[in-house]
Amino acid sequence: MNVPFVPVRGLLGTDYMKVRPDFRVLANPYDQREDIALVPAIAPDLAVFHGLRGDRHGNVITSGVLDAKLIAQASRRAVATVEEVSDGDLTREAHTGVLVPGIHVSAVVHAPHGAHPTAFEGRYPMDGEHVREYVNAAGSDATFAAWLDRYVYGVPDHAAYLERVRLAAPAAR
Amino acid sequence: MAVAIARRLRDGETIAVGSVSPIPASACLLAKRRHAPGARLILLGSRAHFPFNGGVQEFYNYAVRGRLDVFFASGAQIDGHGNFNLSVIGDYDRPTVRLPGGRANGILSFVAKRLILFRTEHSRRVFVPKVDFITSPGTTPEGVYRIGGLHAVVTDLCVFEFDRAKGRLELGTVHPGVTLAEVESRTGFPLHAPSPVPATPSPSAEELELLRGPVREELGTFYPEFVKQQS
Repeated sequence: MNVPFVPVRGLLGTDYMKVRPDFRVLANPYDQREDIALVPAIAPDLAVFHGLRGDRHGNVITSGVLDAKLIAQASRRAVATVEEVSDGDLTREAHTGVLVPGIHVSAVVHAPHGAHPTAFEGRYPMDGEHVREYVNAAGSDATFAAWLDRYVYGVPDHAAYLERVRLAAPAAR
Repeated sequence: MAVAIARRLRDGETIAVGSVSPIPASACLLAKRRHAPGARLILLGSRAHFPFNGGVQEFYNYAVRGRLDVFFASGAQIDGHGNFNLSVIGDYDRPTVRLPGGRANGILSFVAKRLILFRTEHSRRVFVPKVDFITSPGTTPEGVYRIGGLHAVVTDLCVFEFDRAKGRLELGTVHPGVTLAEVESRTGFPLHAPSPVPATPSPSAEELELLRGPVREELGTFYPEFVKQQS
């Protein structure tokens, strides 16, 4: 849309209007009886989202309950991680999700189980055990540092991460 | 709690449940199977009950058009004026706890016709004299677009009704086995209660059977961890 702000109904009377000086109030120019909140546009440099399938043209099919297409359109660049890479052209395939057209996507990365430890709709459930481990680890700086060492800094690549969280290593494609 | 909520849902209504809300989701599934077969359910996380394919954005746009009859939220803190806090505990810039619920509720609580709060912990740290941060105000001044708002608060002890004209929560019913004194001692603001306070009607055998059978099974498809904990 490339507009600097949008009017939003709601927010007035909440403490967000106190802690966010960039949220403003305007009398609706088309109906002076109404006060309306204005919030500034967010223009990210980079969006990262996960999808089901991606192709060489950057087209990605993802879940219809995610806002991947929206964040891809809002950002200067967008990177998609995907469960599978397709050799074909996904714009010609039938699917039940949402197609993010390649024109919005800068890169597609093959990353099976890339949503772990959260669920990916229709593919795998949340890894509750891992989420509990994360929540416990996040309780203090020391335990969180240990968690980062084990699952982020201590694994050289995605395949090693999957081995560490006891998921099958990705098959070579 | 699920039964008390379910009985407030009516046939033909459009009812939405956001994330991390297994109890309202159970209530919706129960109402749909029992007395509200024509209700349109929008349950975030459910495949069967999410009628959008344009993401949360599409749901949000639908909601802000005033299309939701009922929406649910929890509340880390709730006060007697119907303000609730799902944003931060403590100072906003140096909070002791930062919460994830502010994103939608500063907006959806203005547009959903009946907002029902649910809270499984009825205590003085939740039901406070004054919330640390107003994520959603009970009442708003004239000139602010507000077509909906707080309707009721359902806890593990009782049901509060929100009186919009008076701008305050009024004790509606207390659950079977709970005394008024107990609610009073665990609430941090003065109670406005009818005398005597009616009891929340007990769940019927039929409601319990549905809850423990098909509702539980369907809930497990999108709240597997919650269902596991209940067994």
